[in-house]
Amino acid sequence: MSFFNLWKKTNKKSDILQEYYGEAKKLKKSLSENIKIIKDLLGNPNDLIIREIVISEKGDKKLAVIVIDGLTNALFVHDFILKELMLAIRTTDLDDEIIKNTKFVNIIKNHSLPISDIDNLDDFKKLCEKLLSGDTIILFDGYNQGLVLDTKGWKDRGVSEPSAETVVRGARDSFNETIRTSTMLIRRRIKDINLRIENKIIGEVTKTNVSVVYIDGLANEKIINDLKKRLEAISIDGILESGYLEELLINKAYSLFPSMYTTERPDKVCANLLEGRIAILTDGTPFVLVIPAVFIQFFQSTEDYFQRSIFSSFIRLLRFLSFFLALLTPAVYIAITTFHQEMLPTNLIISISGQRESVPFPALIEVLFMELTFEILREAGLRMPRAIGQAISIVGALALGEAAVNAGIVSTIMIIIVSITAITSLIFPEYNFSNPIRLLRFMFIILSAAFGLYGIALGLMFLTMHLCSLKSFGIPYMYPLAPFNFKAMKDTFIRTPINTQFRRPSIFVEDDLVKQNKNNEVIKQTSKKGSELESEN
Amino acid sequence: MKHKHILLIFGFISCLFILTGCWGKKELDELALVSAIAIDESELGYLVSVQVMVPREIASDFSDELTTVKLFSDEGESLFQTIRKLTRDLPRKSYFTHLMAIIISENIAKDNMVEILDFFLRDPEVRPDVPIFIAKDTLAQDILNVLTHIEPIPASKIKKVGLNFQTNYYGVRDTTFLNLVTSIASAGVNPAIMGLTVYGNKNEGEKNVNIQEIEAKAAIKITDFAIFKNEKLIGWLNEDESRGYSYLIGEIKNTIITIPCDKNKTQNLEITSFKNKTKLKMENGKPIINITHQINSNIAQLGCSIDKNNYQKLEKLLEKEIIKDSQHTLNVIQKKFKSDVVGFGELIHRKKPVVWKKLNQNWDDYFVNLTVNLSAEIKINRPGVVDGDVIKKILK
Repeated sequence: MSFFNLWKKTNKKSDILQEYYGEAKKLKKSLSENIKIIKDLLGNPNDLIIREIVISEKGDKKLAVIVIDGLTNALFVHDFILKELMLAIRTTDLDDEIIKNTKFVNIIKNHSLPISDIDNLDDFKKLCEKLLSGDTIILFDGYNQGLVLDTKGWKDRGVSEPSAETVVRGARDSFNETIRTSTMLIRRRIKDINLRIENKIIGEVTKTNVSVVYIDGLANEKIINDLKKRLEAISIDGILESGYLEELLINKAYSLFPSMYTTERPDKVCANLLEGRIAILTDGTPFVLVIPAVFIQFFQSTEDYFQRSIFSSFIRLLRFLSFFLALLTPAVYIAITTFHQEMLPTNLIISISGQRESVPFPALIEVLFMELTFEILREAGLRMPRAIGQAISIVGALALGEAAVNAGIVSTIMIIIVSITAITSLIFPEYNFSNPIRLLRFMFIILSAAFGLYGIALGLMFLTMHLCSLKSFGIPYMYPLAPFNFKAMKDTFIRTPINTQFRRPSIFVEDDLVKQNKNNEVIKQTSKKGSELESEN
Repeated sequence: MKHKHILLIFGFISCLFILTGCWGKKELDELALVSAIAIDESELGYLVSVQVMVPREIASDFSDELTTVKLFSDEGESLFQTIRKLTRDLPRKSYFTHLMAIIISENIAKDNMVEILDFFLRDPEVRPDVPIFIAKDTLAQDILNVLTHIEPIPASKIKKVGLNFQTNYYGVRDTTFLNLVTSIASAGVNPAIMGLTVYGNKNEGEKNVNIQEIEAKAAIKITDFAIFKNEKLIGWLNEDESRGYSYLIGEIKNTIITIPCDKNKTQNLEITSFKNKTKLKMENGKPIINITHQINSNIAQLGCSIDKNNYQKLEKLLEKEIIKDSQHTLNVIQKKFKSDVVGFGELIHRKKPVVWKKLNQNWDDYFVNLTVNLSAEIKINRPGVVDGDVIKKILK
């Protein structure tokens, strides 16, 4: 907010801003005056390029092409604006009268600029906004209107492989920082007339493009309206990443669990759109928000649908197992070794006890020490400069490995427990989801150190209660487990084959529930008899 | 204001964690894990020995310089008092959840075992499935003084030997102390449990030398079965009688039966399944029990040649042998010990409760003259890997 205030203060100092920017002040007739105002408004930066061209034979009438260097495609401006304008002017017999003709601007617009997206403008506010988003402005001497041409083009990262969500089988493209590329990637996959991309500019300073994408007729009307209302209510200086929106849009900002799904994969977004969900694209980040999100969704990966259902089901179950392992392994270790030693098989208790003999700390301290070390290493590994990565991994292996055991600080079994929690917490397709597990793990460690397994059971009870109380845009977070829906269970703990999933999840979808037409003759026949080829074998 | 309240409540809850002091918490290095307990008679009352595992020695790669277990013993007036008295010597609290064997000396078993069993039943740490043994011809303490190999914890060896013996040779019904208590408590059945003894040089048994050489200087072995009358030990069945007892109660999973056929020659049959079909009949108001041994077997080793296509002769021999052993044991327990260790009384109780009501009062006397008929249904299924009369061919 302070940043925002600072900007407002400078705003007040400058009279010219108040005069021309505040309330859609119209353009002047004099070109030189207009240019002066623009320069003053923008503080005459050196990436502002103003190219003036003489258009009358006497040389007293000019037009000006105004661009911000770097935001426009320079070649495009040269070839299709400057060149065309100059040729047109040279080959046309221009005299004062034509120039004076009020239709001159339209003649230029309609006949000499081979550009698809072209528009008129007549006030400074729009001029500045367009100019700063990479459009080209053409102003004319003697006219209080100008042209705005879409010439956006900047150095772009290009469509690359997703870095946070990798798959073996499946599409290799990911969104990037340019919102247009992102909408392109969605449009390329869904060629339906009902695909809606609704734009909104959020952020008083950053003026970030935010697009709400959904399929009309599939997405729940109520959720869309609710989302739009919430977006409307946002008043902030800037949106730099979709994370800002995530926190601004949700009700329970203090819940650990994400109530929006974050992804950089277009195929994932498209699959969600088909299920009736809504995507929120933000300019400047490859991460797209998908609402409403449910708990089960964080266990589903796109790849689950690209391989045979039996393997996918196995991997699903593996993820659920990992969820509990990541959450509870250290806590259960503490509970069993300090409260319920009778639960361990004799050989195991002897082996654990033998290792713990030389460790000077109680199990709780040992666990906390190792878990915190791992969390620190994990964070350091993320933030460190790539060049010193090797040093960190060597040191990390020492702190979390044989050396720590030999030093008598921790026991070998502790290393295994930390490793299990570390590996299992990274198995989730959505990175965000491991964060609540990381924090809750510590809660469970403390609970188990105080109350043993009783404490763990208590913690799990509260966790379940909390999860069941959560809602994402009106949709229960634990759907389809609570409220229970047997039909929707086909795609939760296991994934049944695609030819058994006929309906979309009814909770998101308005009315078009049928995914595959069960009565379709072809489906009927193939599912009964198998295809001809199969039956020959 | 609202936030203040929440903060206060949160503060109180966090105090809970810190101030509870973790009731019931015991770190692993504060416990002495007891693997076996031996109870002997002494002048004061009891001589209690506990075998405590040394985790570091067991978990390490067998340094063989220190023993894997330590024995702590003391004398006292009662069992529990003596266990607590051990703290004079033990640096850690003795912890009984991983107890693998209870060994009771012959003298205690003859006198007052009930007191001991009461302790084990009441104590929450002791599992009800701990195997129980009687030490024969030796102090119970001596049995815990023998180091073993393969199973580095001697108590574990005792437990597993008991299991192995039971599954691959012959066994008793009352293997765990809970079984024993149940048998003592129920009318119409008396307990019988396995005996343990030490063979070899008892003094060498407790040294590491015992496990450093191929041949052990001293070894713990299963021996005869102890016969109880109610809660008191009254005698021992010898090896053949013990085997016969197993036939009578049907406690055989897989065993080998040897039948003499010629001079110093035997036919050997492996029993793959052994079931008893027990029937109760009333004749003239008197109960008569018929036991039929249903046996499946394979030929394991032949000393004499047989008819390849006709195993009936062999089946007859086996039938005779088994009935002979069973009958002998039956006579011994009826006439010599006068103790219903097979549980005929319980059978009558279950099948004819009205009859049992009458017999209940003086069952011990009635049992001595109870008519029990034995028969056997034998089936020899397979001749083993080789078919035919190999011996005949070799001798040619």
